[in-house]
Amino acid sequence: MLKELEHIKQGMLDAGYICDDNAATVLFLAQALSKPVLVEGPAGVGKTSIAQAFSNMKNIPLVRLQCYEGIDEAKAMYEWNYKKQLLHIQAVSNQSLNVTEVEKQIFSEEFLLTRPLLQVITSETQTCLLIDEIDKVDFEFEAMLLELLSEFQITLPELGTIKARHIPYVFLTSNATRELSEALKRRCLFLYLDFPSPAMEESILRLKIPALKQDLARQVAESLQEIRKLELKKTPSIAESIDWALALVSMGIMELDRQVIVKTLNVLLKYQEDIDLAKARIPGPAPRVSPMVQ
Amino acid sequence: MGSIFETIQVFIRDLRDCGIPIGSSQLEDCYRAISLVNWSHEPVFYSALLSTLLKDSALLPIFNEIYMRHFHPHPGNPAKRLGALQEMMPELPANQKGHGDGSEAVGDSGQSGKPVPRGRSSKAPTREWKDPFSQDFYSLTPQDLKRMENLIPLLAKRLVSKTVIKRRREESGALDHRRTLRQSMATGGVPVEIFVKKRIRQKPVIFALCDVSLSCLHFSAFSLALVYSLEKFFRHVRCFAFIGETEEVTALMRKEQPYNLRAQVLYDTKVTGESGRTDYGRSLLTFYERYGQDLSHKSYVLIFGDARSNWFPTEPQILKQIQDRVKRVYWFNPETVNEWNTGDSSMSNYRKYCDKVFQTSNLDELIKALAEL
Repeated sequence: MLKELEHIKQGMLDAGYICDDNAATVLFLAQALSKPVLVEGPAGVGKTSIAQAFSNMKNIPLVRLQCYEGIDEAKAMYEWNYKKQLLHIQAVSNQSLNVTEVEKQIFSEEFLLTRPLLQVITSETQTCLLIDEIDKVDFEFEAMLLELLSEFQITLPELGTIKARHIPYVFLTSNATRELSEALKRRCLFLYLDFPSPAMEESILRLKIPALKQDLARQVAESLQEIRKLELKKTPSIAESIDWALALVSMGIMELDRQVIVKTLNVLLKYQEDIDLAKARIPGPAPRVSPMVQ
Repeated sequence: MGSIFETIQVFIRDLRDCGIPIGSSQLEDCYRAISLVNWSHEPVFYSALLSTLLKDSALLPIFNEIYMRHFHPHPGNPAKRLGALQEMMPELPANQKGHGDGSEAVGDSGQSGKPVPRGRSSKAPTREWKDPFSQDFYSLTPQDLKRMENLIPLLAKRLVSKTVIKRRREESGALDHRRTLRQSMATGGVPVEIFVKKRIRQKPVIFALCDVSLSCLHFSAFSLALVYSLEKFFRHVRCFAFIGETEEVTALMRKEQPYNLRAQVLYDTKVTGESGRTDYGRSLLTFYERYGQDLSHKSYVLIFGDARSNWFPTEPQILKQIQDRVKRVYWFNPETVNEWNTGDSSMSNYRKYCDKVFQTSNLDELIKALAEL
């Protein structure tokens, strides 16, 4: 079993994602138990990318459903193509067809617009489904997802129940802005992603930006540790630290010092208050963050 | 050392004791998961338990604490111990297959095993089960208090989602003719989709008055923590503490966790007044004198307290003046209704001038009351 974990870690690494033991175990269990994974954590720690990397690793298509307030079945599952149906009725109106026949015609798959969820269920090959920011949806929609997540099937009133040909791998991400229903949570495996340790962040940076020198990567990772300790409105996450490192590399900077940090803070922090606070708190002039460059 | 079933069962019961909801299907998942993974590597065992039993990051600290207590007693070599445990349970997958329901499987194997193995667990079953949600604010031990503090992030989230639903329902207003008609053009004049206008509501300013005398302290602290969780629905939240006099503590609350209220307020302010005893009349008076000019028709005044005024004059007319100036006055009383107006409680005097009074003697009731804001 440990070998399989190593296998997953290596596979994810090849797909551009560094997994720790916890994430790898959950991915392993998700496959073994055929259960959806609910990924929670602060914004920008790689909740969405874990699904992307997983689909890359498995070499299967990723179907993404971006949730937002007010999303409904029509946007997520399926919709009847009203306009096409109306046109069709007009077109056949001079042919003397009886009503049931026309009804049968206009409620066939030809007039069905498939949306991400139906697409996953009817797919010929196995797919990976990413339901992004599930905490944004309404409660009705959340309840509707239950059938999909536990039985991997969808019921359409006009066509009946459609069962998935291949059980998809499902990832749900949540920023924990509100509590999800117990029923939904019970059906999922839980994975909490937090800000990474300095060592992990360093290796992520090195993986994402090959041109980044090791010393600089370490300095970046260490300064981020310090910055995250501040009481900020928006704590910078991995996405921001990659941006920052990329900016440093393209500026041709070899070593991080106070001046450089202050100059480039706006890449890392998105609020003026945060930038002011960080400026005030970054200690002394000289290379405080790089004591181990030897 | 007992069978692994018992060990995990005790572990799960401790989790449930702390308010972490675990259903029987989760138990089944948990057993299936741990039978699949290799325990000699501790992080793997930990993740298997975590991913199947816990579903909310707000409860992660509680989970970790309990996990450490159960499976991490010898920091030197936890791996060895878990490895040894796994060797003792080769029959798990077979055992598990026979049962449809996870909880049944657990119950059976727990009883068929040796009589209770460890000191902890032999005490545990007889321990009285206390639901932290329905526990009286007056009967809290320090452990209960800690447990409830741990639950606050979860409750806060619950409260927010409740409020969001309510707001959304109230939001939909009259029919938006223009949009509906415009959209109906696409479907040949048939209004297939109906659009409604959204109602815009004004965010109120909250004035929270907390009795921080010994009798109401815990209650006030929890209430404040929860009021703060709703901050985004309000324009502004201002807090005031009183015993014998009222003083603003908003700035203090910015720095401190609400449940540190008890230590901080008494230390930093002069709320005790001259007598050092709870005096609702004087407190209301000082509140109105010092901060009355800030009250407006957009303000909500929330009072958290038991209305026990030590026979000092209660000055209900001040509350009436406050009520005249603000939109709503709500009173949250931690005593049950039949204790109101007994002894030195003067709830009936104040009640006349409140838009609503709530009995909030435990967390459940408090949540329900606050959801009405």
